[in-house]
Amino acid sequence: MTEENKIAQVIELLVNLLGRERVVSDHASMVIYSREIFMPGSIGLSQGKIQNLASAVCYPETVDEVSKIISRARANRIPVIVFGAGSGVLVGTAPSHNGIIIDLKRMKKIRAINRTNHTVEVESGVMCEDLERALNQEGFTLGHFPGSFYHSTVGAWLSTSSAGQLSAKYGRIKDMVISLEGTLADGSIFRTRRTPRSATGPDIDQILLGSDATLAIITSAVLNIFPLPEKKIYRGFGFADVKSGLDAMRELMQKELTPAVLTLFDPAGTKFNQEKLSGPSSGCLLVVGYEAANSELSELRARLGFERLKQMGGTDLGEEPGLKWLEHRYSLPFNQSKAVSQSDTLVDTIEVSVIWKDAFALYEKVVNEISKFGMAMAHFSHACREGVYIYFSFAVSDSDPEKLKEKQQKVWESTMESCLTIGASVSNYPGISLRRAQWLKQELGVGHELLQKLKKEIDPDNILNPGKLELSQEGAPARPSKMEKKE
Amino acid sequence: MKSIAHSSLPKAVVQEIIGIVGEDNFSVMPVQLTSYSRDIWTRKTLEMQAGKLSEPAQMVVWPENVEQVQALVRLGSENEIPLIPLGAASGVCGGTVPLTGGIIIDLKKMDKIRKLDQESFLVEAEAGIIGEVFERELNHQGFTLGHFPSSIYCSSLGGWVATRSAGQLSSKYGKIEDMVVSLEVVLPDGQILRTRTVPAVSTNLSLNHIFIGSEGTLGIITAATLRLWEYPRARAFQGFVFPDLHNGLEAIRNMMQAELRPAVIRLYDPVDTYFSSQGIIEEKPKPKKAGLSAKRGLIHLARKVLPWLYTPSLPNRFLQSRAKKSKLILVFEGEPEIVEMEHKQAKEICLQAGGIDTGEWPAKNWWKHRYKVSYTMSKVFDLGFFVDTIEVATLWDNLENLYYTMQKAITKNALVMAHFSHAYPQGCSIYFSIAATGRTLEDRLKRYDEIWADALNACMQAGGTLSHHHGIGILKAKWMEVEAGGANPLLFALKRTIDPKGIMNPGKLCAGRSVFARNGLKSPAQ
Repeated sequence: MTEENKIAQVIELLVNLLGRERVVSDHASMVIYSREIFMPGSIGLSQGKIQNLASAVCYPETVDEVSKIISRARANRIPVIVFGAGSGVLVGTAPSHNGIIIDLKRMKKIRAINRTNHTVEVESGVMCEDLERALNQEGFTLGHFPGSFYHSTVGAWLSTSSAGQLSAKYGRIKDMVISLEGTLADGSIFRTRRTPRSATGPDIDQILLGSDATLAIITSAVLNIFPLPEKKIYRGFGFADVKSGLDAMRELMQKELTPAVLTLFDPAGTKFNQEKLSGPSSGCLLVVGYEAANSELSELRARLGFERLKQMGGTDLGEEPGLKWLEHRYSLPFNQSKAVSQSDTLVDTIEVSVIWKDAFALYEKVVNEISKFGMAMAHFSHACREGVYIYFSFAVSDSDPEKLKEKQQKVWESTMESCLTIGASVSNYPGISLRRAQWLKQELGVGHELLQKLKKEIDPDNILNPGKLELSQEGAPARPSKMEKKE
Repeated sequence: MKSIAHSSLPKAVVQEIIGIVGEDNFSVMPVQLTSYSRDIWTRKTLEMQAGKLSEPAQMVVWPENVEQVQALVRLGSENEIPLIPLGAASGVCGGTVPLTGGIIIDLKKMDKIRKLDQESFLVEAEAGIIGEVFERELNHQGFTLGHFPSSIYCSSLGGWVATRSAGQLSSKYGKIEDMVVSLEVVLPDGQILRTRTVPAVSTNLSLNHIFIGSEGTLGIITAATLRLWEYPRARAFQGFVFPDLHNGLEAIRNMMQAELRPAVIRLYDPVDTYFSSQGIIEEKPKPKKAGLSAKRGLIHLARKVLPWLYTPSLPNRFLQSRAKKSKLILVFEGEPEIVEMEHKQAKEICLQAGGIDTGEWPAKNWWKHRYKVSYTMSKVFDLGFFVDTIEVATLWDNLENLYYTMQKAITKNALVMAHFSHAYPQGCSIYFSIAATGRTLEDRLKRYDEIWADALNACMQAGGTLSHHHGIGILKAKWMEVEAGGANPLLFALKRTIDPKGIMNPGKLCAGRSVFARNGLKSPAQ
């Protein structure tokens, strides 16, 4: 059977299962689904270059339908990509073969908000913003505010193990999961126990989180929720340099004065955002925010925290920078895309995680390296007791699009090298996927081999999200001729 | 030169092992192997009393570094000999009990603190380090791990990670998986896996989580890097008593959902409350009776109780109908001003739930004796009955259902009481203590198995989880299929991937599947 015949057969099966309205295979739709926010994809698209096209997109509404789709796909050895809102920046949802895309956005029920347990049961296709609004109406919050707040789904967070801007207080999505529902690579359905915690062997929920839909498809989850904070106490502090700013961040996290938001901008970042955030004219801006339903306790922590920051050399800049940060925090990703229209400049970001001991050294090294190719700035966030994330933003320019791409690649390579040398991690949120896969291999070492073997054991036909996380050798982007050779 | 003539392992293998670990670090002495054929699982004590302990392992070794462990694992893999990693063997589910012979790899000689990174609040230590020694060393440096299982004097870091342990102060400091940053594991193929020491990341996390809770079935954990806390600068104690269990549970739930994080939060059910205070709720320290220690007091109590245990439903019914009040113990520690405020707010919440303030003493008293109880158990067995604990968990709206369902299931076979601790905003764990007996040793074993089957069937039916922190071992393996809710294939895939020969701790964690069971390994006689 030819490739085209096989695909036609699958489309027919999908239509039989879901109905014609819930299966789409026209060319225009396939083009739209072939890209997401990742820049080269957008640039390529604007130049008429498309890497891979799926053969069909389908919209299941229940886990049983997902189960049947996977079984059919597996029987026909057609790969499956799971799609939420396409807001990933790491090519997580780009089709690798002429596969099927399962768009989960029709699984959009918020099944239950449980006031006694402080949990919510929610399907993977629900958008962040919608979930948060529904919870707010009941007096709760999920506490999860990724930069893609307005255009990401629950399923996306779970498969990429995302973190939001208030993760210092509320935790990352992995800390919020009570139970998962979904299907394995053979289509069988699973529902893990609803318990706050167990000692019943390896934690399956945690193993599946961040696996980027390569080991299973998650269709719904039971998540922790938090009562809405009554009061938000946000403030800005000025520090002379990055080193003293980092020391101050570390102090708050290690002395239980944990704020909800703790973000330090380096001098370049502080200058770039100065107008928007009313930051200092030189040095570094540290945005600190305390918020909690328990306002008495929160106010105490804020008072102690602000005192400590002053003791460590911080200049109190008042509320304004904090409040302005709150106002502008989502506009950053949208502002970056403005640069796309200037065809000779490329803007990109790299996040890495590092322990406190190595944080400043890594920052200095990476910024120096990037300066050879373009402009760089950084901010530090998602602090915890043992370390912090560094979020580098850089811009490279060149009139030649090939040279431009080269410069971007060089920045990535040198940054990843610095991380591997110093011992930091290239693999924090929001997921791994094709872009970082090559460095992931080096970072994980023996662990990478283990995950590859696990993938092969769980999904021997390489149906689920092939090629992502560089977990399957045969998963690299392929043209139809390659697949025919496999037969 | 030790005598190895009687060993059931091939001579060449024994010689190779001596080559790896040295003369001093192995043993095939029958008495030693017998002592290693049990952990603290109650059933093993009963078996010992009945003279029915299972076949011991073929050898025990004490490697001193990860390279020796690596060589041992390679040897085991080549010769298909079962390997059982072991810390201090204080598990209560048979996790380190050899079922098919093999070699016990006792890690207690790998007990160093390798590195303390004071700036990053991280410590790297070897798996064989004993809990209390570890904690004491950290305290000297101004830190605490925050991990205080009641077995702290006789459990190891490797054991904690392998079983997903939780300590008595977990409501503040978290459980072992909250503390692990990275692991060093010797895989069944002999490779060493070292996960990265970096703040939580998406893939590093899943690698750690493959081994946390693997109970020795996927590899040998030889070291771990953990995140630390500053040693607390203040501590506060508080006791309360509630008119009934429901009000006490409401108080705990409200405290956790108000974002308070008491280090210790323990609510005793009415039966336990009745026992520990013998009907009187103590509000101040009792004068010490001449010559009567805590241990003797317990034995004195035990002698009174023993005759009743032949028909447990009688004392159970009596206690369950008569006992009403529920005792709460709280301990706060950390930054002084935060401790003070949490303490104040907790009092308000408890008073609002109908609680009566009993002052500091009940909590201080518990704190003082918190490790002693376990060590008095052996006397209880000598008196002819047995005790055990069954610990489960669930979400708040199911908690009382789970409690009463399980209590009912256990009540005909054992005296049963419980306390609630390890509280979360979402739910809580229930810790049942049971005491029972039988007229003959065989009778006791039979009754023991019945109690557990009834309890766990009830637990599964009522939507609870099989174990909150003791783990699975042999004892609960049968119920893993139900517990996993369809996700078991992932567990089997992990095992097939990582330990295709099935040499790592066979027979544990999962029952009924060859890959976790014996899988055609050579019997000891060969």
